[in-house]
Amino acid sequence: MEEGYKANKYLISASITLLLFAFINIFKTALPAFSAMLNFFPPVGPLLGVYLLSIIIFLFSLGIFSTVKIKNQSFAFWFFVVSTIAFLLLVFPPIFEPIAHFLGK
Amino acid sequence: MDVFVKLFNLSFWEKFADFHGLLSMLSLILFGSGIILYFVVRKSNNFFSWFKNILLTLFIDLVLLDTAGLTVYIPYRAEGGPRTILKASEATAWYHTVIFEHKEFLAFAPPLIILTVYLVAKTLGSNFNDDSNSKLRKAVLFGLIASLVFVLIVAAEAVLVTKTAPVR
Repeated sequence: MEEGYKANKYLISASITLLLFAFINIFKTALPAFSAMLNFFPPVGPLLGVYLLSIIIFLFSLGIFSTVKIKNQSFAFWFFVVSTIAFLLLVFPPIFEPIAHFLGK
Repeated sequence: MDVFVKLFNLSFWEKFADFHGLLSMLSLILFGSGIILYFVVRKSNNFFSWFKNILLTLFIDLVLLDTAGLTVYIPYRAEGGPRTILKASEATAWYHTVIFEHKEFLAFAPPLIILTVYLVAKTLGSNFNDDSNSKLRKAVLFGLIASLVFVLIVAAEAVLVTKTAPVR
């Protein structure tokens, strides 16, 4: 049973990371100051900051879900599926840019 | 012999971009192996370590692929580079603002998903085929297929952009 908790932890952490990557990207587009903060290595641009911040979120989530045990395997599976599909859509510029422009007003 | 001289004379970034493409092709072979081994492991647990090792190799390949992609971003973004060329014309600007941007964001997911799939499989170990783990097994298969689709989309978008404005 213990392995089930551990496996759920990986699925939930990856799902949260994918969703937060998409939201960080939206905020990066909406808020120039946030974009400038992520742009710590100008030759690559703010994209590197988004990647690194998302990796930190993944590691942080793994830590949280090592303590908070998710028992529901079905929930972990469906959250993973929905987050993956949502990620695909939310990083598509014609979808995220209107949201970013709305937030940046 | 002439062809080797010409290949040798390609710029560093042209060779690096080709290496980036090679890593992408390698990932397709590993995805195929991973998906086949998933179904083999469902029949016989004897191949579980093969499955696990292929997933780990695929993860390493995808990390290298992303690292190479971020590195190629340097000449792409440089003044006078492909990004400048694409954005200079209204007819080609969308290659950068929509296609390339989507490619760069989407590329984040495959290594993360494959690492997750690897960790789930490693955690289940000899219990991989237990009936109680059916949803986790489905997550493994879904992760493999979703990552493959993402890599195919990213590769198609890369071809679309580089045929218009290659990295030199």
